Amino acid sequence: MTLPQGGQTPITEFLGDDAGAGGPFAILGLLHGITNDDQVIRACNRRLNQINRHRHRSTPDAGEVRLAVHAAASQLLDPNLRTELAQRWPEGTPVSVPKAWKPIKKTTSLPVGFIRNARLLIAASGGWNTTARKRLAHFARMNRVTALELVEALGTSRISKSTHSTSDQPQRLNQVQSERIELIGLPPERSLQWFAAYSVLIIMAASVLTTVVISPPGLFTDDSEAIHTQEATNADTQEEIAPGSHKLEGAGAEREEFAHYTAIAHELDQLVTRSVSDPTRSIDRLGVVYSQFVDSWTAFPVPALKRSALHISEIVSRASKSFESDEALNGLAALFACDPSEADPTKAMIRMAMIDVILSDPSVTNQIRERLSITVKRCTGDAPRPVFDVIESLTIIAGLKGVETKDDDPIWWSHWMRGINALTADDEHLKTRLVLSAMSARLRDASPSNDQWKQSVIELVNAVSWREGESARYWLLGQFADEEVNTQRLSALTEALAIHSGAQQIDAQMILNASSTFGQRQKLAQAYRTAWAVTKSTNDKSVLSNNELMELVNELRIRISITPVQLDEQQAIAASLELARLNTAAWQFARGDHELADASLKGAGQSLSSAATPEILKLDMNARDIEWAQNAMNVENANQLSLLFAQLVQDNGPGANGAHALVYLATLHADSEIRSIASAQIVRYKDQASVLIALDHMISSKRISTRLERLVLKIVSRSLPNRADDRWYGEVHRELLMLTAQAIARTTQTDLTIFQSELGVAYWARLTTAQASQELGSSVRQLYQELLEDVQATPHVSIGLDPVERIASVLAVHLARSTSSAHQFIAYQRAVCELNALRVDRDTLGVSVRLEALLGDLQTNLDNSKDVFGQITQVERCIAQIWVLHLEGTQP
Amino acid sequence: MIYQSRLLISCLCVSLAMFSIGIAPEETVVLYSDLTPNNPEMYFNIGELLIAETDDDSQNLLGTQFLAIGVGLASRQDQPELAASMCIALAWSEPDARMSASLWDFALMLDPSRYSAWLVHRDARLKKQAVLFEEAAQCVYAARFNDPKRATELLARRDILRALQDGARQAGLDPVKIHRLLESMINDSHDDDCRGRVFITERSEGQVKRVVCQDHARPIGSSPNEESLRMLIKLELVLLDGLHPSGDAPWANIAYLKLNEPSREPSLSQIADYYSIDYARAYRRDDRWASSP
Repeated sequence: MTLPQGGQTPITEFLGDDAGAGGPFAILGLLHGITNDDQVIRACNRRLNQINRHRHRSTPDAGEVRLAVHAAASQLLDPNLRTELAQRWPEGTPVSVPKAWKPIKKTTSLPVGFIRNARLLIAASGGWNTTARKRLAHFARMNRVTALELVEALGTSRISKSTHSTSDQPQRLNQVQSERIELIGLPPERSLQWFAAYSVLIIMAASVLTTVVISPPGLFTDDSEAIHTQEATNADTQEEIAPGSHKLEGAGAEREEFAHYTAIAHELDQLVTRSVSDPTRSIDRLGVVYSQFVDSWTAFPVPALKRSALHISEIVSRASKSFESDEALNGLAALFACDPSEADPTKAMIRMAMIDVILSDPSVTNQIRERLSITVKRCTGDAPRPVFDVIESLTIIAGLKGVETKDDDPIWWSHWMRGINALTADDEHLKTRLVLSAMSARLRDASPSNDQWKQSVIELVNAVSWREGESARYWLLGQFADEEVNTQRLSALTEALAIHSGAQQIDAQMILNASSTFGQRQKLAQAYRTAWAVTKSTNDKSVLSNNELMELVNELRIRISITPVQLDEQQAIAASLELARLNTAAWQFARGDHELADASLKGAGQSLSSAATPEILKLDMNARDIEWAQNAMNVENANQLSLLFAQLVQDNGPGANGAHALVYLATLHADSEIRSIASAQIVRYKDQASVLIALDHMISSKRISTRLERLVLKIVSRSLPNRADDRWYGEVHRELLMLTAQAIARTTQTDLTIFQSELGVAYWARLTTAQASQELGSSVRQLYQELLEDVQATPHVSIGLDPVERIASVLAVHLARSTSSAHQFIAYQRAVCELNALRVDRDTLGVSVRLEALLGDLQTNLDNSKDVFGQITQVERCIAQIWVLHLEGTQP
Repeated sequence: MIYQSRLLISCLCVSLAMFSIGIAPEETVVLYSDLTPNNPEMYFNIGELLIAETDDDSQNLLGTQFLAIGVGLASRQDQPELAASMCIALAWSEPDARMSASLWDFALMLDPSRYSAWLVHRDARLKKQAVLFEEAAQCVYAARFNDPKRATELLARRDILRALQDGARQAGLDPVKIHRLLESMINDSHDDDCRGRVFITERSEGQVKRVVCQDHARPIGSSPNEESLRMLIKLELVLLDGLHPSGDAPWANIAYLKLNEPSREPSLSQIADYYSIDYARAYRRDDRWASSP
């Protein structure tokens, strides 16, 4: 849009000074309180009419102002966008009665002499008749006004004249009569002008004729010359149509450059419509518009950016369906090519984001899909991540760029910040998160600090808020505590904070010395903590919480550092239990249960309760067992059998043969009383391997009685299919086999049962919703569900696959492959760990990189663990590390 | 004249040569020269082609190797969907049910959108082999409970023997030791006249009494010693797919059955080991895998 002389913009020229205040409301002359769409449409029509009535309505500037009006109207028709824009742009000045429509306004622009001459023309024609109308039309055309305007002007003038006093009528009549003589012919000056014009035209016609005769057009070899000739013939037209350009419907001439984002947005609006009928040309045009969209996307408000991105995607989708040749498809894909050497990261960001958006459209053909995927791969080395929302994609890409770059160049970071500001215009939290993540990554770069970093970090530090209670403060404390952070780079950051930012309580004495040791760094961290905590903690309760927190974090750190990867079973049990209790304290602290957290913290170091005394396995055949079994098998009544039970009590259960006898009596004896008391003894000794084996023997008989089925149900204690079902035997046999294994396992000394129980208590205490059972299996499942609901409650911006979906599918795989309840536990435990990492990533700023590193380390440690208990310890250790990140990142 | 004869002979020769080419058996021609690790999909296409169009074991193996390499390449190039598809193709062609399940697991880990297919197909082949494994478990049961006739019948079957060996391997037991143990238990039972009965009827002085059979070398349902009993219980549980207890099952079992192996998930290295491939040697040259084209 060219700026007219005097600094007046086309908008102010065509629509008045009020319209140039900036923003769509000013352009349309509307207040913020728009109640319905009709208001917008009416305002748009008013403005378009205003332009159409302007004397420069046919100029390219008018076309551009029309575009701006259309774009403003299309934006304000979207209620959400309207609200968004109302926050950014001032109200317009309402045009209740469109001034541009008022004939009086227009007539005032016509000179008095001009109107007088027109009136004289009517008079010279003998009044208002056909000749007068023809002459007036010619007269108006020559003076570049419409006949309608002239007629209206004459009418107004007539009305105004009628109000004049009649005293000067003779004088006026005389004047008219004197001028009539002049108007019968052409006015002298005009006649000369017309004569000159006609002369020029005749000369030109003659020269053209001569040229055609002497040198026909076919002999011209230089196209540009022909074009120039054509341009020369059209010199008197004000529209300059570039050779080969196409004219958009109702939009005037096509522009190659757009000064305002609204013009680009409107152009894309129109291209979407046009792409239906003429995809080829719309893609040609998209090539022009897209490059400027890439250059200026940071000027777009978020809703407009989303809308434009979807338009581009739709245009490409439509074109991809109609293009068949490789050449056309390659041309289309080439629009989205990247330039790896591009210095401005915002351009690379939008290019990749647009491909993500296009690929999320299912109607895009595979040919284009493949080509765009290759482009992404070539540019980034990664596969594309189809995302419908351009802001979501930009967030991911911008986050990655900030984290992955090794550049300290302040110009690069300045561009990056411009992109971040554009995409986080309405989300300060996201902006802080992205900036802190980027700083986290740069702080961990081992290369020494340099002047470039010192400049860049000033902009980054000033991009986030360091006010009281803001997360950036806690993030910084975390950086002090992390040994991986480069002290020199951290020093530059503290310098920027102390000197170049408005951070409170931080002065020049709190700049970290670049050669400080880790210990000195920690001392300075304490100074920061004190400076910021003093302002935050004003009551005793908070101070108490801070002390508890420090103790908890210290304990977690100690336990994390002393837990090695290679552990034997006993070491793994002890370490797992202590870490689990500390993690439980962290869980309780985070949800505000400080007393419970304190109790868990104090009890964390308690050693495992002593294991139960192993039982004695009685599967051997001794004389006492044989005698008892034979006596039992030959009893004649229930009393005799009851007397025999005293020996069972003495021996703590039946032996191998005694168990068979008991099962026989309970299921096959004719005397119901004997069956009943034998069954009672079986239930009493159901944990004995001998009883379980005897029962397993009995169920292999061909006929399963109701008595046997009932007895089995009492032993197995879980639902089983009906005994007539083919699956009954298999399930019962498998269950009895497992119970037998458990019974024999109790005869060996092991801490695992107690460990399982203690771990169950620790996991149960983490649950938010009360649960009766403290069993480890059900507690960890419940905890997983709670975390899943929490994480799913807030959408997580992720790279590639949905992390929650990935965690759930990996859990499914682990559960399918588990061979014991400990393997099932670790499957859920890992899922809990990863979900907790997602939650901490959501709630704690600037920890994404470290969380990713922690989970990577966990995988390595799991691969190096000797057994499942060592793995349980490693997962619990990782959970502790995540808690440290969270507690240091969110608490002072 | 001579010229005409030569021409005729030449024409005949050419015709004969063309005829020979026409009737010669058409061989599967696979072009490996275009193969490049940058395009893992080519490995998918060639692998599927080889597996589908040949009954030759060596070609089949080559096909699986193509797919296995393709899985690694696609996975490393961040193309999880393609890698998962190749994994599933590999799972279909994999004769071992457990490896097939592992490949399905890996496919799901690469691409969570395969969950519904995973649910249906992951255990399909394991279920087919479950019938055979149950019979193998009956063999162990029969040996434990002194039923030599049934145990011998089952042990004599080649498929049962193979199932026992597979089960033993899955349980982390030595298949040879297991076979020897079962044979010795069956042999011992042959000398037992009670043949699985715990009690026998004895008549003395006009009275009928039930007495414990004295021929048993060991208690019914047990085994020669505690260690062998542990092995047999574990083997039976594996064969019956019984090692999927509820999450609340006591951990003491783990120590007894020695189930404390670390939890392992399928990985690229597992696939590479299983199919004897090296992802760095992704080119096919002179009927060998090479590191350069």
